[in-house]
Amino acid sequence: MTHPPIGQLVMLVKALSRLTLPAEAQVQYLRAHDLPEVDELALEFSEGVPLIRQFVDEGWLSTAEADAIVAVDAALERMSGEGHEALWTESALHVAPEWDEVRRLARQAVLG
Amino acid sequence: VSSDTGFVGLDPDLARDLAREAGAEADTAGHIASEVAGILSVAEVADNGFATMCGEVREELGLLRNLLEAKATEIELAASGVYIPMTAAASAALWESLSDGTGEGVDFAADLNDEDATVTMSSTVAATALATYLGWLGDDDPVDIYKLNEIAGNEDLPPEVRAAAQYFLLDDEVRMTVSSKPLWNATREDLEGFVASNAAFAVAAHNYTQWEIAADDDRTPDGEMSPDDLEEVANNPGRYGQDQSDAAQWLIDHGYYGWEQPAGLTWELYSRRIFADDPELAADWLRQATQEPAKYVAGATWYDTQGGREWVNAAVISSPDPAAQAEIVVGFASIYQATQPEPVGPLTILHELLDWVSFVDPTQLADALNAGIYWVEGDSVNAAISAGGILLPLGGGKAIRITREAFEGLAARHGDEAVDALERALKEAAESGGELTDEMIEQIVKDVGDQFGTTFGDEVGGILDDLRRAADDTVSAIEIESIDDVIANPHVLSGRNPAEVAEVIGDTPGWRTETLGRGSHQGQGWVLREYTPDGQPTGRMIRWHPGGGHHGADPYWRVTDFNTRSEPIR
Repeated sequence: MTHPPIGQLVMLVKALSRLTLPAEAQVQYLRAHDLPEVDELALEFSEGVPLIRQFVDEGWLSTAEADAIVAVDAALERMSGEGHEALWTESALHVAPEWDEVRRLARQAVLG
Repeated sequence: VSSDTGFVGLDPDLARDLAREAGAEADTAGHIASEVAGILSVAEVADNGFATMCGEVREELGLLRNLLEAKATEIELAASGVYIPMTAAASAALWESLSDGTGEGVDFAADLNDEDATVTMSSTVAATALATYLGWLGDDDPVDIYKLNEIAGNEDLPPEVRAAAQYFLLDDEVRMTVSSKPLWNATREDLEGFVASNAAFAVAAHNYTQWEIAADDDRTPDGEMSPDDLEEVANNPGRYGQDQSDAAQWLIDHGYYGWEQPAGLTWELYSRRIFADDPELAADWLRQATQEPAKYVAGATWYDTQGGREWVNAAVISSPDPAAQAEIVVGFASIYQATQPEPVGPLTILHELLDWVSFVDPTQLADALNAGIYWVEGDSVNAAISAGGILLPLGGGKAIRITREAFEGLAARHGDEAVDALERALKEAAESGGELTDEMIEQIVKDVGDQFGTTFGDEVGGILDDLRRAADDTVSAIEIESIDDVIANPHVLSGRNPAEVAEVIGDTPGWRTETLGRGSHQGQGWVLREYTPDGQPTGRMIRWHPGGGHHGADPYWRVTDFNTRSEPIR
């Protein structure tokens, strides 16, 4: 494939925008789409991150935008895996400072 | 077709045809479809047996999903405050745009590629700009996505052309509305057709009061622009003027007449724009919209949730009359300022969008979607029936559809009480959750049977049960032979575990086995991701989550294609 699919960028930006949302709206999104795990907020986003260098090469994202998106992904990675299960609950979306940090970084990535 | 589940609903004749084509595994479904044709217009819907034959439907479904996601994101952005508040300055900018001679409105939306989050242009303006640009180039090539990217980044081009390209690049909705197909397949002709349609609708709206009585002997406004009215205008350029006759003829030629439209107002094919030839009527309409909770107006970008939260996107407003433009802009601005942007329920969005879609697609696709949404929401069953029927999710990637005609048939056979009882039972089931379980079927049978003491309840319940079994049988009969099978029909993963899937497709060249990258189960699960020969991910992947999180959820699959991602499949 010569070019990465633009749809992947669209999905990545949408997933990024969802990470900016307040907890209530994030929960609403998960329930409305029958997504059983809070993990999906991160998984839907992180799926597109490996393509980000291609997006930059295509000129679809600036390096600064890409860096900001990678920073969001890095924050999610720090929250992931064994020992962090408590962060991946609906209640954690409301109260965990880690999620506030993700929202801050995501908003920074969206708005520049 | 359900946007959430990928269910496909077909009428009985088509179901039988498909059954014949699909072979033995679909015979049961076809047989049942034939049997119940008098009562239920059914679609057996195993996502897979009919997949090949439903290719076009699936394509539409993918577009719809993109559309819904795009709209949902737009609303989410508004809810989170990312959306630009409509300030006095914004109102002024909107007015200025409306006055620039284009007659087009603008969307106030966050432009994610613009640090200052400026006003974006409307789809029609964008189409016009691009069509004009392509005309300058004398370029008859399709407008592919890469060309758009090239245009968007070419600083030698006029800014409106670059903005138009950027608009299309980021807006799934526009991709669909321009040509009802992905923009990368759109031609200059498509774009010009889009512009032409808007022009014809604008003329129709501006002259609505004359046109609606053109063929009516008593000259009494009846609120309907009938085909006869249009033909009268088209055939009498001396009376109505050549421009009006041409516009009317265009609408006739393209089949855009006879749709419902309140007096004084109409909306164009894609329901993105409200035309008003009378400021007072427009203002009345707006006031009415604000006073009726839970009322939404397709295409008006007007949302009024049942919780009393109101939000207006000051968008896509147009009128040929500057005075009307001003009134509408002021009206929308007033409403906006009187309300706070708050989250809008996704179902409200879906309703609005699906009605919107119904103007695009003249088939029963949108009606079925609408019916499904009504079902899921547990909203008015009557409204769902009016919209075309009820879609009953059966679980496991299957659904059936009961059409309006079916309910009319029920009424004819068993009386209105039977229909009332069934409607109540369905509504209760809908309000209790998404899927039609065995318990719900039993309850429906009981309620309907109790209501009028016949075996009708058993009849309905038996049919539903048979259909569900038939759908189950069909799904389970589908074998996975390649990754393409999974990409095309993610529901083939239903009920399967990673080991058995990996055994068949795990060694596909170009695909690598990985684990979940983020979340509570990082390093667990099963992921199959595609890479190019030079090691770049393509974005396509199949992943399995073990579940067991905060809700003790079951394991589930998700499949990501180039442009879409499946719903969870269990």
